[in-house]
Amino acid sequence: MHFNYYRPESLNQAFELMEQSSGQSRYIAGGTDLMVQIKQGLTRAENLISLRQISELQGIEEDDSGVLIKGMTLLRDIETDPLVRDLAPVLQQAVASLANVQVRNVATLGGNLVNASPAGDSIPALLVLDSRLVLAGPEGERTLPLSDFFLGPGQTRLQPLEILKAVKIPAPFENSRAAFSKIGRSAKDLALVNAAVLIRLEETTCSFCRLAAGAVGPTPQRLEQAEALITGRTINTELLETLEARVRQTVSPISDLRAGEAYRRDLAGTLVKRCIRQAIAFKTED
Amino acid sequence: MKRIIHIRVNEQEYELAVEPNLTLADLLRDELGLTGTKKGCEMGDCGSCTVILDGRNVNSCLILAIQANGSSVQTIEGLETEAGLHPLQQAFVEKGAIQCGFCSSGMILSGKTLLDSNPNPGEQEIREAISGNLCRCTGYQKIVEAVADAGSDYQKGQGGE
Repeated sequence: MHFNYYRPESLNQAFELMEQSSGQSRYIAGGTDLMVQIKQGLTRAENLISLRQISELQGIEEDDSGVLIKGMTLLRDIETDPLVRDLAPVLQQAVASLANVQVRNVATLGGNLVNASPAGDSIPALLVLDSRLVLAGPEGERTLPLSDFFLGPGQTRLQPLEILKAVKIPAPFENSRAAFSKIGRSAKDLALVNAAVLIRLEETTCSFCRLAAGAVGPTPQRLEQAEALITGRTINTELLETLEARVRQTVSPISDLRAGEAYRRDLAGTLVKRCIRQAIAFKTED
Repeated sequence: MKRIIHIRVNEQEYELAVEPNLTLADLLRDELGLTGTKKGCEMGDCGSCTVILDGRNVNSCLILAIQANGSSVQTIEGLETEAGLHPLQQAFVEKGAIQCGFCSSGMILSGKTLLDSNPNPGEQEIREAISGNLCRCTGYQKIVEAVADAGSDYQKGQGGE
């Protein structure tokens, strides 16, 4: 584990360092994944460019369309932030389920996204919130939907010099409720499957929904067929069972040392159903 | 190439030259001789290397010493005062919450981070707070009781800072 370590104080300095460095260079956010990969020899890096000192990447703000969370915001700060609690409680639910306090005190939201793990816990929650990402590069900024960001495990649309600057989460629309659920070997372990749901009910009819799941394919994904199945229909036990079966059929998980493919299919159906029950229960408590 | 860092450890200032790849855990143990901080998994899973960095509990095996430049670190060695053991340390002794002892410093520092912000936590909150600390002796029940007991001491004004 030998590397040079740089601490730029602005995005422009970071781009310059990345452009000028010779050999394998990586941006490093919290480092809770990258440090482990480097220690295990899974990733080689001759230069680490830390994003910690860049103030443009820090903070949670209310903007005209909802809430803006900067890329280097710590997961622990998202978990306890009053603005996120009001505008995106499902993200807090997802983030609080990730690893443990020590990890969340160091790990960042940008890191969880750019790492592009199929099992990243913040991702299904941000997908059902219809989040957009602000990517910054030497030529300027661009915005793209989170649903277009992932290309495969560890693969994203980020260009070599680009940095994830912020996540834009639209304010919730009226009568919508959301929930997140996951199963790991232990409560806060890496998810075998995770899922999130956002649903708007008119009486007992689902007038709109977004469903998403992780660790059931190469990237976390929206479950559009399942969404179409329940939109416009009355939510009852029978429909939820049909939905559960549909989710099982439409996901494409792999088997690995954590869980088999068939078990992951079952979990995906169960968790989506569980999220809807949870979201609806929140609503009826009001 | 070594770099100079300034770091405050247990209320003492240090100026140190460190290699970029030195972890905070190794700095504390090997350079400063503070071996109360343990190294277990070295992957951020077990919590035995937990220290308090600027008020937050973190795994010192995943933090580079260079990242702690300008920060304040508290290790298990920094808890005892002239008045004696910290209420959490005392509670661990009295409750028998220490078996082999390898997880104790991390458990106590995670417990302290919790009690500093919430001196009257419920059992669930205590279990959440120590969920990043593994006890291979499986002595969790006594540990949870010890943190709860120390919390009552905090409220009586004997603890905290």
